[in-house]
Amino acid sequence: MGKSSKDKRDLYYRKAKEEGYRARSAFKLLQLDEQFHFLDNVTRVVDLCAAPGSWSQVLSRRLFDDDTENNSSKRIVAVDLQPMFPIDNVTTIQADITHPKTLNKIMDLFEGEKADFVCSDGAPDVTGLHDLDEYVQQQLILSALQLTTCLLREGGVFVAKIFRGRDIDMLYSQLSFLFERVVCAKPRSSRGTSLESFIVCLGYRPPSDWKPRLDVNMSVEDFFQGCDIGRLTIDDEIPNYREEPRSIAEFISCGGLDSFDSDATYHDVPENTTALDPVQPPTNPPYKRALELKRQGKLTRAV
Amino acid sequence: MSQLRQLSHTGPSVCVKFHGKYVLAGYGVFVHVYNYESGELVSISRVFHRNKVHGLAIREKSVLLYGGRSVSLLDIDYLWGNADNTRFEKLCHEWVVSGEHSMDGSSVFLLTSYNKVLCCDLSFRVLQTKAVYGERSILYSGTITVLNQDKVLVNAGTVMDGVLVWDLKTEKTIHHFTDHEGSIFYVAASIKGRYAASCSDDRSIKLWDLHSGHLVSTGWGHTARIWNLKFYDNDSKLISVSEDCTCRVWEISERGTLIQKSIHELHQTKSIWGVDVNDEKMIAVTSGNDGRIKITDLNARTKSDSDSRIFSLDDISKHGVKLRPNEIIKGFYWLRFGLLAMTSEGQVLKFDQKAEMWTSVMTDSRFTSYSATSGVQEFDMVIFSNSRCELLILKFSEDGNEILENKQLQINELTKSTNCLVRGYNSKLFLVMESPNPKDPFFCLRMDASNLQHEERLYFKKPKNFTASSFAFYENFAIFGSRFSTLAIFDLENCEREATVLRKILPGDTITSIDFVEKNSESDCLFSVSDRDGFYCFISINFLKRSHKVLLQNRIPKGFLEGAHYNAQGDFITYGFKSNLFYVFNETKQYEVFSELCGGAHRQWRYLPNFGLDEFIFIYIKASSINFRKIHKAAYPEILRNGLHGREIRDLCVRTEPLHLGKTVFCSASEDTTIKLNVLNVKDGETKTVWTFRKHTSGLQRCKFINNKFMISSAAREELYLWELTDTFMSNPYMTIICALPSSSEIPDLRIMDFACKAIEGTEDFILTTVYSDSAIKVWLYSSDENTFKLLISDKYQTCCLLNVALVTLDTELILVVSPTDGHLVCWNLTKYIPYVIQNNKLVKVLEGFQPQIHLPDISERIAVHSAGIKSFEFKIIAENRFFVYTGGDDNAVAISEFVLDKSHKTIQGCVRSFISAGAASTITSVKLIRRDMTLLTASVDQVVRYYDVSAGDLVLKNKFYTTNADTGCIDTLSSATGSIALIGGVGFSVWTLE
Ligand SMILES: C[S@@+](CC[C@H](N)C(=O)[O-])C[C@H]1O[C@@H](n2cnc3c(N)ncnc32)[C@H](O)[C@@H]1O
Repeated sequence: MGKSSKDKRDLYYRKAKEEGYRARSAFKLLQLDEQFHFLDNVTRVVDLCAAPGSWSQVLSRRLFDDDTENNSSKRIVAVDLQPMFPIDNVTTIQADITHPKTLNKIMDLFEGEKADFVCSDGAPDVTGLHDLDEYVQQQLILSALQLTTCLLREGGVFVAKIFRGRDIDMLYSQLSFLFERVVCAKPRSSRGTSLESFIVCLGYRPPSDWKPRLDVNMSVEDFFQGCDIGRLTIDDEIPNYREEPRSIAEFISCGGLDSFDSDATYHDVPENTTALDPVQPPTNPPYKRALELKRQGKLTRAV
Repeated sequence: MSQLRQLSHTGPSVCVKFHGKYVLAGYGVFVHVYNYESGELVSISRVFHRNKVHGLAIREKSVLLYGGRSVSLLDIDYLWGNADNTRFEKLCHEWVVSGEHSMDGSSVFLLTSYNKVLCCDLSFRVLQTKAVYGERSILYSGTITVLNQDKVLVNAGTVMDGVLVWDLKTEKTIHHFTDHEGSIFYVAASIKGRYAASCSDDRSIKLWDLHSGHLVSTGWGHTARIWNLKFYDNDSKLISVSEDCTCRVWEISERGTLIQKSIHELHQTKSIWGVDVNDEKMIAVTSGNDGRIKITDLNARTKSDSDSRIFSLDDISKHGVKLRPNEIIKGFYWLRFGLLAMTSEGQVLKFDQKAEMWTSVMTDSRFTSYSATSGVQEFDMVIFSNSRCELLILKFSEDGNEILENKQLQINELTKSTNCLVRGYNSKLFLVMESPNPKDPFFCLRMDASNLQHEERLYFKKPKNFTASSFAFYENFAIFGSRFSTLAIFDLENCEREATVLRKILPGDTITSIDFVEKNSESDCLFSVSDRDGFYCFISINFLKRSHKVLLQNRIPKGFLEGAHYNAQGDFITYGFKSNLFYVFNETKQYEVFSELCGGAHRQWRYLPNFGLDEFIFIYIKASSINFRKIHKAAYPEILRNGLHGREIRDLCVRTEPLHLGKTVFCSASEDTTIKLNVLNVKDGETKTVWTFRKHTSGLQRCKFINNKFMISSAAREELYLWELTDTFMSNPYMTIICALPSSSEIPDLRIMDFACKAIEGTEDFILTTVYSDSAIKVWLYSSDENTFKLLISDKYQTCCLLNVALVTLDTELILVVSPTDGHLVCWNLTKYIPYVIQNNKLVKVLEGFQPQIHLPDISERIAVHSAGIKSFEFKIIAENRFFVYTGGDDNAVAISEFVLDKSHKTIQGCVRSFISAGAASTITSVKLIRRDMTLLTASVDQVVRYYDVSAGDLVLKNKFYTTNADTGCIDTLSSATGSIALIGGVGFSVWTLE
């Protein structure tokens, strides 16, 4: 199966290349916005876990190309562990969003102003231990939420990728303390066979009795201690097991039924179109050396 | 009120630990205790409510358990005594990566994922929280080394920032190792504190000197991520386990170099998570994603040095044997007392294993240069032959000290011989000689084994294109295996009679073994047959009726297959070569029993029983030295629990009819591309896999029994197979593919998402409908006479992927129902489109004057039910014109829809009757009606099984239960004497009873 076969199976992949997006993910944000219109009238946004940058491209086009007025007050900051090729009107930072220092850097770029919109499409590498993977994913969302509580204006919107696993209802419950409406949305461009969805949190309501305080010495958990969102706090004793608050968020499928189905196999791709090159820059996996050794036949069972 | 109760659970096990003669294993929310000497599962104790046990630490009688955010501290006796210990569970606010007792046992340390240590007293009061200032990176791994009451080191494996070793008391970083790439998955400190070892996403192991802080060496070898490491044998060795399903032993040299010493393939794809070593017994225990708990002898089953010997020709001549300069060993055979070998000079050598002595027995110049050696162990006999049809038969005394018979023969009937096969059967010795001339018959010599007298000479006419490669006897018949995977059956009582020739019974070429298994009440004789290209089959032969049938065909994962047989425990064992290795593999339980790096299949070798239950010897020549390798019966049970699939189970199907009392068969289809045929004990939920089929080449989609005999499975790449199950033999149930569905293109890349069948009364024929990822819908007729699928209808819904399909009969009508990813239910009336008359919900007879039409009729009804794809549906016929559809969707909703056929049978009207939008916190992956369709079970990815009363036509939630299977994806049910049995699959498998 070559590239063209991937094109055939995945129309969004093809469409992304045609429209100049770096990844098919762009359509997820576009379809979410089609449903919620959260990008109308926003001027300052943060795109976390942004590489290769297709969401930032969508944001850049929306903020700058569609409306050329008041450009000086507009701001897009994109953050990722991986380096990103520059995008017009986007400030990129290569950093770990779980690190408190990173959050300080982003806040510095906003010079005391608030953001209208924070999104995170981040996903850690999975190990296959479902509970650990889900935990790490939720920590990533909490890190994004941490920044959100420091930076988002009242009434602003927070969007993050989630995997609807075992403890997702705990996250729903916690987010509903901070936002007017919490929806679990699945764009048609996200595969039905994957557990991926997006949590769309509308109408930020900062808690009145709690002031977010970033401290490089605090973990995300420490940060939220005292903020009454139903997360477990420990004082001087590790408490007995108890059922933690859970709630089920409203589910919305977006993108409309006339949009492409990412699970379908399409045939109407011309057989001999030359496959376009992948739009993402090649990554540098940590196991590159191991692959090289394997190729050289140095990882055989001959011991 | 009815209760769901879990009978058994098989699933990922993350940690294992030796404790005396026991193994403690974290098994989901449970701790299992096994006696590794007897293999017995001593107790199962539930310790957490929802979280999996990821680790445990034992100090005297105190056990510290942790997993996720849960921790628990209890007296070890409680694990034996109480089935439920969940009352001790505590919940931390951060993930607990590791835990240890303090030196004096008065407190415990918990390392959390934010690189901080909670120092707690024994009732989990937090005495102190320790961390390194400014180092709050998130951890994937970490361990705590308690050196003494004051000195405690934390070895933290971060996601982004390498390994940090810090001092708990001073909260100062001692070492920061940054040579790895990617996340650190494990860090272990050596027992005596000199080294630390770590592994990361870069797939290497690094050994660090904790005194100097230097990287000492890097171990490469694993082909995927490494999950766990452990020092043992006084820090001279390190063991590693990995995603690649191997466990590797590394020797640490004086100067700290890691040298890979052995590799063990122990678990099924993918991931071994846990490992521990018992230093005294030199055994390891491992646990994996497949739910297996495995004991491995690190000395690879050699008890002493004499179990593994090499003799060069020089060594042999030092025993006083005179060898010419170019004399080499040409062949050998193993008897009770030792080895007999033939040299290129016709010299017969003997190795007495007791005396450890080589001697020269005789020289027979007829066997200079070309000879073949074979023997019969039960007769203490070796046979040498050459190309001129000359034979030498030597029968020894049991101790090998005397030659009891010495017979030299010349077979004049053939002019030349290229092949001499030898077997003993019923105290007779059989010798079969084959000439290179295809016109010559097989020549067979039969004589009394005791005195080599009463020679009988038999000739058999050779079938076309036949070169014998193996043979077996059964009663009066000889069965020969040949190239081109052909078998020929000869009647020994009637040599004139033409052989029965069974051509191409396997996909490969040369048949390497034929073994009799059993004879059933129908006088069908079962044989296992293997071919060198890696395929094996079970063939039932009825010698009286001269009929045969292949009941099972399968292939090994890779390599060459030299033989296969059942062992004493009833496990099917295969052996052969994989590149430069010789391997023995337990095909039933799916693990490597033994392997030896011998250089490959092209050399001279023999693998023979070694006089004792499960005792074997492997002999081979490498660099003109002769190597012996004894393979003993395992000293301990090799498997404490076998597990099931190592990846997600996509579908399950139970056969309704029991196999025999209290047992039933079911199939599990997995993302790992295999289908397993398993036997379930209905009473206690115990599950035993009998066969693992490797026919599909992509992840499985569905499997269903369509009746008691046939099962259908489907997968991506348009694979759909019809399987036939045979349960008339005692040894095992057998299953084989009898027909494959034709695909629509040469390079099929469509997924068959689902299928449905409707039987045609009084025949084994059925209507099959398949739905595809490109929105295609096809209807087929399976004809058992022709054994073909004939296409009746081929059409499309729209462009979206179709997820489910069903065929519903309403009195005289046949309705096709499909659910696409758009969340709708779509119906077509197929009545006029199939060539059968339908009466009383049944397809009864052929419709006269049927006009085939390739396209579907217009859609009869299409209603929106879910706002995302329907993952699973069930049907219930309410009246002769009405049915309900029960659905579960990706939108977390459950629904009941109703469809009514109007009187004229022209239109169908549908509506949603009952809808619960928050039916689960996550995708509902399976719905199942049970208890005469009064109850609906749903399974969802949030790991909750819900139970609805649907008797009144709407959904009334009655109860819900937590399951430990992540990615819960499929359910199948079976009615039992006391209620129902539910099989639930996902990443793991559990059996529940509903009473
Ligand atoms: C699915 S990709 C994002 C795609 C992006 N939205 C786009 O449209 O191009 C997920 C990204 O999350 C990033 N990521 C994961 N963990 C992170 C962390 N802790 N800090 C920053 N980025 C992280 C990964 O490097 C990866 O590039």
